[in-house]
Amino acid sequence: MSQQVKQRSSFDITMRRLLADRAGLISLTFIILLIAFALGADAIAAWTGHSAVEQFRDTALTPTGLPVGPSSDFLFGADQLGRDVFVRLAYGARISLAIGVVASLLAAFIGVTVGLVSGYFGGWVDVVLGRLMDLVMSIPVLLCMLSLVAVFGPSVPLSVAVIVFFSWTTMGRVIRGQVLSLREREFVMAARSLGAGHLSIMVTDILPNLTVPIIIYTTMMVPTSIIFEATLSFLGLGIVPPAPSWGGMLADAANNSIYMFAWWLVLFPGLALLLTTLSFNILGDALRDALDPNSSKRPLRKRAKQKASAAS
Amino acid sequence: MIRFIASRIGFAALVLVLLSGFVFTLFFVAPGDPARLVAGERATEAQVAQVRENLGLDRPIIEQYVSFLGRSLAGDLGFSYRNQQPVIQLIQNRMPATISLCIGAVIMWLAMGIPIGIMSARYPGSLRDRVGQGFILIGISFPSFVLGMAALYFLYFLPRQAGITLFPPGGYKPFLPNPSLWAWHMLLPWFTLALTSAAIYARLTRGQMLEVLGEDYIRTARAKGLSERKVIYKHGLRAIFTPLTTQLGADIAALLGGALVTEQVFGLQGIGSLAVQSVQTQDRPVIIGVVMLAGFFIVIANLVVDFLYLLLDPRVRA
Repeated sequence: MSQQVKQRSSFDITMRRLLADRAGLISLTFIILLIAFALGADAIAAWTGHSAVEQFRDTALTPTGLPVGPSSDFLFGADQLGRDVFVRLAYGARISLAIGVVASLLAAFIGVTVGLVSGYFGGWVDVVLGRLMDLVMSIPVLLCMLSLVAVFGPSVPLSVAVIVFFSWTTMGRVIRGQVLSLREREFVMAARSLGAGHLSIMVTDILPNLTVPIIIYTTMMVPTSIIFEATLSFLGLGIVPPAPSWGGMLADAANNSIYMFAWWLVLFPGLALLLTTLSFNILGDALRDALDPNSSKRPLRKRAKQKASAAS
Repeated sequence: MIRFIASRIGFAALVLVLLSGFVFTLFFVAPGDPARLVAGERATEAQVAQVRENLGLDRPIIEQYVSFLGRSLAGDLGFSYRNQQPVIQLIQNRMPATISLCIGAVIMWLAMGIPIGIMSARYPGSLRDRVGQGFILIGISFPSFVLGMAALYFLYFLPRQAGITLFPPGGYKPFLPNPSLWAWHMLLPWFTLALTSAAIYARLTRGQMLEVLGEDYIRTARAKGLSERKVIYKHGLRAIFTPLTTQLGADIAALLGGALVTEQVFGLQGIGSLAVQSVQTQDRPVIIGVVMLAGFFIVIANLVVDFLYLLLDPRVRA
């Protein structure tokens, strides 16, 4: 009973800190709006009357074949094939968010598992897994992706697999480091003397202590995965056209440098990508400050605030 | 120390063998018959068989792999399926652009990241620190190809519309005979490739520097009357070289990926754009060659970083 109350209050404290962080709050709002934008893609398509792949050669292209800019008919303009950029942006948000989140969760799962096993058992297990992480980190990712795509052709599962394969190591290292110190703690010894098995100790005793780094690093992994996916699509290695993705839209814009004459082709998808990654990064920082008050940033900010208030 | 060197070299060899095994298996299990690709659409069965024999594709896989490894080590990466040119020559032609891009970018991100990180760490919480942190946040979030396109739009296209030629539209110009023309063409690609890493280095430098500046020996250095500049650059910076070197080693693999994207945006005829073109034309020997060569460079660069470690950190030497 008392334990329940205590847990809730720590959650409360975290939420209060998070809500006091203005930048974090703005980022969170943006992310929620973005999710709504992605979920509402069908509604947007119905409202504008434009589907994501339909080409409106009569209304969206000028007589010389150039796309028309933002107007009441095409809110964010049209692309070189006469498709609605606004509608494509909404469907592209689905891809970016889905791949970013799914890949990050999978990578986090693998990273936590490997880090946990590596740090808990130590010895040769640790050496082998450590070497494995070294190995993954010294492989040229994009070039491997190139050769995989050359053989199997681009696809969503392949993109996710590659992103996961190359991004779990950061989490693995962080968790391993934490587990190394956690396993020497008294509560682990207590669990062991009560006869708990290795798996039980790892999952029920050590894992809950890792919640904070897991939440923070998973959040930080989302923007990296989103950029990764966009880069793959930009190079024609990710989402297969005509399915809309932000990276693919930017690739279309870069093709023949058409964006020089149609700035909206870069501005909207580019800004969407930048704001999304920026929001997740800021949210990650805010979460770290809220969940882990001992992190280096917090006292510094406080000091700055004190200085500011002393000055005023 | 000898053990350390030996283990690093052993690891480097392991990476190369695994990487070569990976690309080789990949292309062996790949659907599609390379002999038919080379012979062309209208070739007869007999011609395809002849090509297969010439390329050694009819021999057992293991034999093919071993001879492939042997030839790779001797610098023979086979011939392009498309135009029958030696792969090594194709790569050599593309090398200058990629090397120029990578070296310039590394210098630029170190020159941007470390000073910004130091500036941030010297006055924590100040306006300068906030500017530094803002740089870090934006740098980390900016996808390089978006940055490259934005740079071309604002620094090439718009001035061009106004009649000023501020930057070239892209493309690579050789270093000789005109180094300034070369640098002028490389400036935007360097910046594009460098920004993200500069932000990562600034963050790392800031964090490490904050920690180091709290050490006792820094207080001692200040107490004995050293100027702040000397304290920071002589005693502080020296201590953060080791983590920076570690980061540099980890970044080399990522650097080639970034170069690939940057080459694509700026139309630089480098190894990255060669790889992308080869994927589009299914030119497998070229892809294998590029991946192998990239792997080789990464491994060598990592070895160099390890030896730098020996020089910088006396604890490894012991």
